[in-house]
Amino acid sequence: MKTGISLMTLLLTGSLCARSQKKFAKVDVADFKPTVCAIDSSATAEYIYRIGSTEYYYAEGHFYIKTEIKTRIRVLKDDGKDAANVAILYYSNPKRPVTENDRIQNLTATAYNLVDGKVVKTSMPSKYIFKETVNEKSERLKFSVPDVKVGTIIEYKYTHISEGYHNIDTWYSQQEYPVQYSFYTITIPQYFKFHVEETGFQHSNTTRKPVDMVFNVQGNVLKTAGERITTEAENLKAVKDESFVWCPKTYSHHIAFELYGIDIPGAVYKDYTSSWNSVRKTLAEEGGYRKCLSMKNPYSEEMKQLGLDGMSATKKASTLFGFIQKKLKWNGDYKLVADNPNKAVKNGKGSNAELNFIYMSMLREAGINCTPLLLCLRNRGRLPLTYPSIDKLHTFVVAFSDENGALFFADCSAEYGDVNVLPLNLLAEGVLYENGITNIDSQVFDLAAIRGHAAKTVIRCGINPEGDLVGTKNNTCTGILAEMFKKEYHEMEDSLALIEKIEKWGDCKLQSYSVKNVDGTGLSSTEQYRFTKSLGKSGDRLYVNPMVFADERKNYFINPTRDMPVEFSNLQNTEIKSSILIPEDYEIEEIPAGKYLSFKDGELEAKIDIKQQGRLITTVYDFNVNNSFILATDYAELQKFWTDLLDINSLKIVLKKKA
Amino acid sequence: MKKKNIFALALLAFAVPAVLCAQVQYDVQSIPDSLKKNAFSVVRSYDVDVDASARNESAVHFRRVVTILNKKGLDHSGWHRVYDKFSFLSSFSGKAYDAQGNVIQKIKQKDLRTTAVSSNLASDNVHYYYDCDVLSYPFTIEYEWTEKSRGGYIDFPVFTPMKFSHQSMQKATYQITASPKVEVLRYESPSKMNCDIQETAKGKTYKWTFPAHRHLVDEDYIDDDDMRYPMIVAEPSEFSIGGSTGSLKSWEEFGKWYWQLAEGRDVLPKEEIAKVNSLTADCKTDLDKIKALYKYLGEKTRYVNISLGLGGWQPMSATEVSRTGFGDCKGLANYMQALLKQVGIKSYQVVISTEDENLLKDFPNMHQLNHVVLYIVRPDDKFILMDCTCPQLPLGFIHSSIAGHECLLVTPDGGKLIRLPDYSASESRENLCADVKIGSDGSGRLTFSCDHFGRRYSRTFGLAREDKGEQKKVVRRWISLDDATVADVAVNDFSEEEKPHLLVKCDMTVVYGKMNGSRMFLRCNPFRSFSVPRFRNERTSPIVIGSSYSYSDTVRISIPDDMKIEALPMPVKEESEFGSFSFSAVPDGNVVTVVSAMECRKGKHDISKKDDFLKYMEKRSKAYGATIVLVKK
Repeated sequence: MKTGISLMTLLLTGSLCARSQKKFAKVDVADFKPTVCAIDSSATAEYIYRIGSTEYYYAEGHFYIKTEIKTRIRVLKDDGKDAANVAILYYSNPKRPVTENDRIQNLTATAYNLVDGKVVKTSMPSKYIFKETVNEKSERLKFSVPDVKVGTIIEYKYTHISEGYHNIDTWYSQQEYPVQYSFYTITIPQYFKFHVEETGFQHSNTTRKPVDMVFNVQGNVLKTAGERITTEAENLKAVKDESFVWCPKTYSHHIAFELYGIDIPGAVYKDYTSSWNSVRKTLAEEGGYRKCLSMKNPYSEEMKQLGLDGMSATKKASTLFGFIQKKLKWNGDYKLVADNPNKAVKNGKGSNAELNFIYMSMLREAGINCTPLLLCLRNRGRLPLTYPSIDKLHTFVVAFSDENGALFFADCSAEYGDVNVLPLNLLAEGVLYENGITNIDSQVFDLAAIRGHAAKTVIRCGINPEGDLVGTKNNTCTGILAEMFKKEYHEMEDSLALIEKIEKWGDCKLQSYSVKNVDGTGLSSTEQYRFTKSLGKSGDRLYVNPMVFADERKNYFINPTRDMPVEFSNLQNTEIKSSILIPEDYEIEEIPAGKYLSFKDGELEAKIDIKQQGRLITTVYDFNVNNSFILATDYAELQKFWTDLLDINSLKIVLKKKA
Repeated sequence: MKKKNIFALALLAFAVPAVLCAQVQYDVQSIPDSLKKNAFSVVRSYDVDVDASARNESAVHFRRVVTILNKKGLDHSGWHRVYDKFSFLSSFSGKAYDAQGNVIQKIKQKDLRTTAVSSNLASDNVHYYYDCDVLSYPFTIEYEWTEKSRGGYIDFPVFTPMKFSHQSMQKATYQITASPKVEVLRYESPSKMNCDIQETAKGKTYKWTFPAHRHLVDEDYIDDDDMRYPMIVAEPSEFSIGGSTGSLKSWEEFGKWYWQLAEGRDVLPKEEIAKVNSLTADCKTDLDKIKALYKYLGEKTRYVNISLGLGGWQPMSATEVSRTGFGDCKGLANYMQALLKQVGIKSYQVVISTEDENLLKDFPNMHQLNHVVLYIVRPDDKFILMDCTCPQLPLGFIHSSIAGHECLLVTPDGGKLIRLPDYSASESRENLCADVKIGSDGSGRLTFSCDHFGRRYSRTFGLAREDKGEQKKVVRRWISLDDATVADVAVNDFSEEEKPHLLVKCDMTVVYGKMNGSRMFLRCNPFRSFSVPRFRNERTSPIVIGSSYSYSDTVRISIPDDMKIEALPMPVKEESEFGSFSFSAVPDGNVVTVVSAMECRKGKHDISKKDDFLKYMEKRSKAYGATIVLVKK
């Protein structure tokens, strides 16, 4: 492919500070001095720098983007040698012409070692570069830099050429190793309108400046305006996996781009995502939403047999949801668009988008206002904070309003779900496709804020002559807790595995076990069992946990510090009511006092009340998660709350045998 | 017109029975209840036909039909094969049937997806797979495909008709037709399966027919080596692949092939020879030389796997490893062997399994072997074993993935089966000593030291190379107290000692006692806890304890001055064929000394001992979970 005479007037070095220029100089002896990463002493390797620059050029009738990447890494420990193994992912579809696929060019890699006080350079031969097919649309270029040891400085650079001028890769300043210096620059011609959003907790220096650009378009010089965006950051910590985080990349420092319009002189302006209305328009026209949202209800006749007349909107919606779950199966795919939902009717299965469109056709026929709520899957990030987006939309759930204009949600991927009972991965912020179905003055809704997820437990037991607790436990779950319970129940290998799990969890023996409402949809399900549980004994004393079975037992927050927020899966309420009848020949020697705990004015709260009435001890325990997002700055306070919560869960009543 | 009608009728006459046949054949109702009960799927039939009548090439035809009974069996419904430079998929088709046996879906080769993704730097492997998307249960899925060799082959496909836990089987057949010059070696499970051998025009045909088999369930304390699932492993007595020929008649012969694969690949570049000579110039003994070169190996090399062509078996040349500084297990072993040879030290490559403790008796095969280490010859029949992919380990230390494993020593005279030493319980031990002084609110300072030997060292030695922050995080997880902060940790790796060990010392602030009104509850030993397994009533497999190890713990608890002991757990001692444990909590003034010791013994026990085993495990779990109760004076 011929490259046109590009380009831009970008002068890379001119935009850098003097200290940064040092980084790009040849590797010298002084560069080998540091043997520990100043940012994080546990780091096995560190990026000395990561530099990227993206430019547009014109050739063979259209624009291309060319991104040059330069990286220098220092290996600090044995495990850091893995930094020498690199894989570059790029778009490649064998069904398309070669020129339409991405290309990785000019790849060079070098290892620098200090040998007898001198810098020795080892270049990577091309025979250690390999191509690997990932799937129908992508490949990886893999290479391994030779002669890498502890102390080696690795350098590699390459150019990534893409025809996808509308698609600029997000630049992640933070990486799997600490980064001393990160620099990225891009110059975008004014024809291409991009949303730009920078997020992350690390400090950076980002500038945006107008520049002049020059292109060679079929022999003619084309001058135009553009914008240069540069982001620079230093001393960045590595992104590490932490518990209770859905997508760590969300919180790492990065700059993201999304095309919202194309404005080429002489051509009609193309608007994609300049506003949420543009997104809707794109989805309506190119995403097929207009057609799908007016599709005929394929189950119109069968619907008539469901006896919906007289039901409230939510009851109708719940009934229709159950009907759909019996009729169609979810194939495991979350999609934003659906070519032809009627295909799912024919096949008996489909993506959640196909099933949701069918469900909405039924809701409409039932007189219920409904619309998609567009969202990003929780484990793949979040919707941008500052701009409308199509790129970050992965799917939608169904939003509908009741007679009072209140909003409810459902998704047909939830085999055991119901109205307002959605899979955890969908409990994200979403945007209504259509306004006006609700009197709530907002188009953004956070599904993680849905309430109604609860576990209510009632335990009745006594103490037998052997000093064991004997009794029954009845647990009713509602909302998402019911959905999770049903899923787990059905995924258990067999009844033995289920019994084993409960006995292990409860440190007890089961005499009987039964469940209700574990099949299909529905807002609640119940399990009940008879149990025997040994008590702590010593001489003439017995030690009893007033809750019988502790709710929370594990301290998830033992790391001394935390960089990322804590994302609980959902809001929920746990209530345990227990009553223990003590034997006639025993008396209570000590009974713990009730306690109340609160984190940040009730964002998390727990309480326990223990009362005695004659031989009966009754306990009421409540634990409420009222906010599922806890800031990293509140981590120490969270640790304290959680430790106190575990203390409540391990209280003991002391019974003594009467004289 | 009439003729046409007759013709059409004739067609119909043949077609209808065929259709009816398929329906009846795959009707779920026709599966015996005994096979369906508690199963997730049933293999209706699995037929494999190997045509190896042409020398050095083979074509294998497969047909597999599985009924998926419920959603739990969905994972049993997919199809996945891997091909490389020496094999390819020649044809493929599939069908799905409903519960009555009617065809509901046809699958073509173009519906297959492929990927070459691997964790290696480079590999010939291409994965072909199909994810079945039938979601109405029960249903039946049928796959039929042919694979062919290209450039020779080493063995025939391993025949495993039942691939999953909770999968029953109705019937299966495995047939191999080999040229008259090829002897087919076979390993059968269950052993002494009847193999029907016939002479045919093409050659000799070996056929096994498997009857119905109820599903098996994966359980705890099972022998991983034990071939519980029906299986045939078959291979030609002599093979040719990628221009290389060898014999599988014995482990000795197999070793010869391995030896010749590596022959001539131990040449070192001049600069490397100079380096080796300079590194060992001042070494007085062979052991000193080995140590110096081992250190050099660790500094210079790293693990990278390139498996292309014969490279799956043939080691990378020592020259290439020298130049790149990387290689896989066999490449690094070969390189180290060359370095040692340069200084006159003899060594042999050892091929081993990191998963199977025992190799199939008298049945050399490729399937079990997945790793290569180096056996360095020492005087008096001694040896030093070196895993060149893990040079951070002390020289000669045998790590837990291979300790006690049978392996193949590759010598110029052929292969020789040997067994690596294993660790006894006392050699694989942790010695823990802890002191904790508790205040009236349950908080206090806890210091402990824990020394790790043998297999326990194998699991923890990496801690010595972590930085302090990471060490603290790891050590914090060793103690199951809700509230504990590691103030300081010191890790000493005594790797140079004859029995390497890792000593960890730690200083923590803790909340050791849970306050409860006027009482305080203390865990006797917060470092250990043991769960109790549960076995199925119908289990027939022996109970297998995979390795021996021991713990010896002393925890000294200084109780607050204003509290006294209300309850102390009783001492316990238990001795059994499975192991032993003892526990005591002895007060002496304000100090309670908790001493617990446990030994776990490797062994295989008949299932009739199930109740004894479970009782032992329950007692052990209870002893280690004991608590002390203090009350205010």
